[in-house]
Amino acid sequence: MKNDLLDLGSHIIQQAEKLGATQSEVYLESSRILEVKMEKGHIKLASEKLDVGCGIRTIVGKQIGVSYITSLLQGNLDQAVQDSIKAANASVPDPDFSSLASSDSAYPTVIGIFDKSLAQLSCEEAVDMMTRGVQASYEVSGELRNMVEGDFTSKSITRVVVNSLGINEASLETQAELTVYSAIGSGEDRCSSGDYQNTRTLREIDPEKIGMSSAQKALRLRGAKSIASGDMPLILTPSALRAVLGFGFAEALDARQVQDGESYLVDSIGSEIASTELEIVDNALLPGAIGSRPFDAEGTPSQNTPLIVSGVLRNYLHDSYSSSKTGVKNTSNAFRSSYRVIPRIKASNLIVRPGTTTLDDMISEMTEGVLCVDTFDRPNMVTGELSAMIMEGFLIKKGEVKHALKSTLFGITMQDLLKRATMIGSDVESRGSVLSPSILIDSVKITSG
Amino acid sequence: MAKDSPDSFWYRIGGIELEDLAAIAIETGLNAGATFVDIRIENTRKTSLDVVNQITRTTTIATEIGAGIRAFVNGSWAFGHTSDLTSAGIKQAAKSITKMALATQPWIAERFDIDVPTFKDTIKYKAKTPVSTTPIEFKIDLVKQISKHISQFDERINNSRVVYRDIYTELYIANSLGTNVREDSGRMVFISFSTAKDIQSTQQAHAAIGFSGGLGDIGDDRIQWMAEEPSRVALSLLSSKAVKGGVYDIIADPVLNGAMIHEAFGHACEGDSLTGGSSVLQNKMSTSVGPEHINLSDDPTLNGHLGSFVYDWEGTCAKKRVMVKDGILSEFLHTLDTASRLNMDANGAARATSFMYPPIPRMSNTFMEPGDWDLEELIQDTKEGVIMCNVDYGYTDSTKGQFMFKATHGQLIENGERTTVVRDASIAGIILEILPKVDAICNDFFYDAGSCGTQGQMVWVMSGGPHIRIRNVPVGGV
Repeated sequence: MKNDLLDLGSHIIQQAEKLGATQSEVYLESSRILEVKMEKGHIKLASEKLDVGCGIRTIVGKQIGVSYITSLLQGNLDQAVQDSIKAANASVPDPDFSSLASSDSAYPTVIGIFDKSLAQLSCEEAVDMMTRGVQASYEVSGELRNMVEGDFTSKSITRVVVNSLGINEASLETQAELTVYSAIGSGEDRCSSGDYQNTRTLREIDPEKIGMSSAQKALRLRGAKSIASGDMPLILTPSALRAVLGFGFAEALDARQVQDGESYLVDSIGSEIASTELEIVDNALLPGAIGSRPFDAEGTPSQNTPLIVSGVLRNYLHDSYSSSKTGVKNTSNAFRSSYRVIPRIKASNLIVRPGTTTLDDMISEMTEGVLCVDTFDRPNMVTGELSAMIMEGFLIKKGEVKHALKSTLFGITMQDLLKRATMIGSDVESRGSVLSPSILIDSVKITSG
Repeated sequence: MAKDSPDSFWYRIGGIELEDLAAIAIETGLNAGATFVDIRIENTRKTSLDVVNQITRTTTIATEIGAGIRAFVNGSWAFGHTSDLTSAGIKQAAKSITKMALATQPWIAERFDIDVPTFKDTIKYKAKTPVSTTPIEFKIDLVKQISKHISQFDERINNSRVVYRDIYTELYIANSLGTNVREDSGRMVFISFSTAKDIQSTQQAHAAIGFSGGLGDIGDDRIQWMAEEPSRVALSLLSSKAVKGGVYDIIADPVLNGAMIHEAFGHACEGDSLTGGSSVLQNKMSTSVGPEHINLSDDPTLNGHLGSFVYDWEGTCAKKRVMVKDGILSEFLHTLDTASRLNMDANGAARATSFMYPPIPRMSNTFMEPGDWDLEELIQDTKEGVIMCNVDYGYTDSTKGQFMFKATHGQLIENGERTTVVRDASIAGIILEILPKVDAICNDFFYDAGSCGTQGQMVWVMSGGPHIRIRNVPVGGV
């Protein structure tokens, strides 16, 4: 498959040149996605998706055209090349565009991103993973009052990038994701929560742990109450940081946004933007991590990029367009979730260096504050203002977790959040492509009602 | 079924008629042991433009072509898709999908049949300046003009961005009970962004409009509104203050109201959150969920709206759904699956992002019916509070019943008058607790275009309503 796709890529490049492209890039995918969905503890839907397709970018001078098609059949690919050229010819020349990606560097070998047992997983094996997760939830809560929902997805994908500047790369990757959601009880007593895990290999998935934790997390939320509003410290756990850092921080480093003035971190390279405790890198080479890959979506070699070093911002995240626009090194952060979308800039694995304090110690040292286990909110990227609902959180008083919170929000600017990150935990967890311990923010505005 | 012009879909799939391809899938599935089979064959053309300060950052012309197939055996569903639209490709897909439905049977709890009405129809795409045949140069020109209009609105506007998307779909749906529907449609969305800058601050605002039909069906006034509204808001935000967190009486504008109805109530009415047993509306049918003056509907039959369609993605004729009538919960949104399992009538709410996804119950154009308050009188009556406008984003957990929205801007009400402009205010609440807090509904109305993501599937929707007042809401500030 890999070589077929590389050949197809070269062929498309030649065709684009014949039609007048000065540069061109082809991104090809062939993937198998096996998915099992559960509802009320039973199978709701099984699906197997064999997805093949191609994304094309062609350049005519400084005009850029994009196309994609959900097929690799010759007639369809011909049409996609023509569409891409048509789009380029119609577009306005972009003075900031200089070239598609090229690379002289060697490509790294990234280990642990392909697992044969996932690539060959059968429907029955997927059902088994899912049902083990559900059983584990029942073991915590009992079967009767627990409406378990869940989803197990395994994906194997061959990705190929070929361009007219000599890039010609292929990689094989696998991913698995298990989610178990437990909704327990009824009426006033009702509570619900979920847990999930995404990995590169089948053996890392721990359905018993995820199922059990989803029910335990749900039960802890019973008796949720509002609290008095005010300024107090806040602990963000790794699952809450998936949104707060994964979106709220990493997206502010998107060099295209920065260049457009649409980030609260414009003109910040070399400035102390965070607490000296905070060390953050974007590492696309981390073995087995969900965001790791040998090359980015434009085919340039992956790297480990320091972002915050002792509180000082070192780099923005770049692709070929943003880096050549300002004449800085490309950090290889072009990302596309599929051939069906346009490449954009995204962090690979955002990694926060752990500290020495355990989460339990953070809690026990707190006189009064809030523990936020989950939020999905993101800041205003221009001003950095963040007002986030605590989807799952708890009041802490005199070093103890008192009760769950209802209709409670926290507010702070991202600038302050980074500076007030005074204590970094030791409890590292991988959540999405964010790898972080819990972080204590010494003061936020809590509103509850 | 009649053949269309020579460049139509029929001819591009190797001379095999859609009906025959569908028949192959259905027959293969039934022969392999399925009791119900359906297929969606789709040919979609998409255009997408992203124009920043009159320069096209991206110009995309794309094609999505393929078939999604489902097989059903005694309560067990399996889904798969293929872009290989040859008879061999369809046959192989139908066979392996049916095999999966048979394999997962032992883990199914509810045994039921799909016994639903069937439909046969052909809906043609009729539009002024159809998106399918209008040259891309015309679309780029239009979007550039809007971008220019934004930039020239005021000297403090330093960045303009306009995102344009259109989609033309030829969709053919058939099932083993005899449904046979072809619906062609075109839709467009414009989203405009304006960034204003002065010595004190930089502020951004956006506006969106969306339609089904063609480019010639859009009024010039709507285009103008979209070009000017974000600049007006961004400029007003330059001197704004972040709202102080606290519990307030709020007046939600139509956009925020619509989003709240969509997120906080509509999602809980989707049939699959009820078959899952986890919706906060479980066992609440025909009971009071809010004050008598509240009426909430979801209506895909409205002419020209972004979320409109004649047949849903299972080929069921779409109907208006009155979710709440005079404060009483009265209807859910169904697919064939959820209607069959809950013993209710299918009402045409099945949608899928593309042939690559199974249809699930979704909203279309969702709204609250207007009441009789005059907005200015309501502001005077409110005395102290916050008017909250537009939505940056929002989300909900229909199991917990919790939701949150972030308004993009707003204005304080002090002594019954509008005063300071505020920004970035969020509201949080519990679904079944918020409706009883709505104590006044205005006589105005506005619809907002947007997209909604559920279970990894994005669909275009509209939501709207009048201005409403909600008492005692926690508003998060920075």
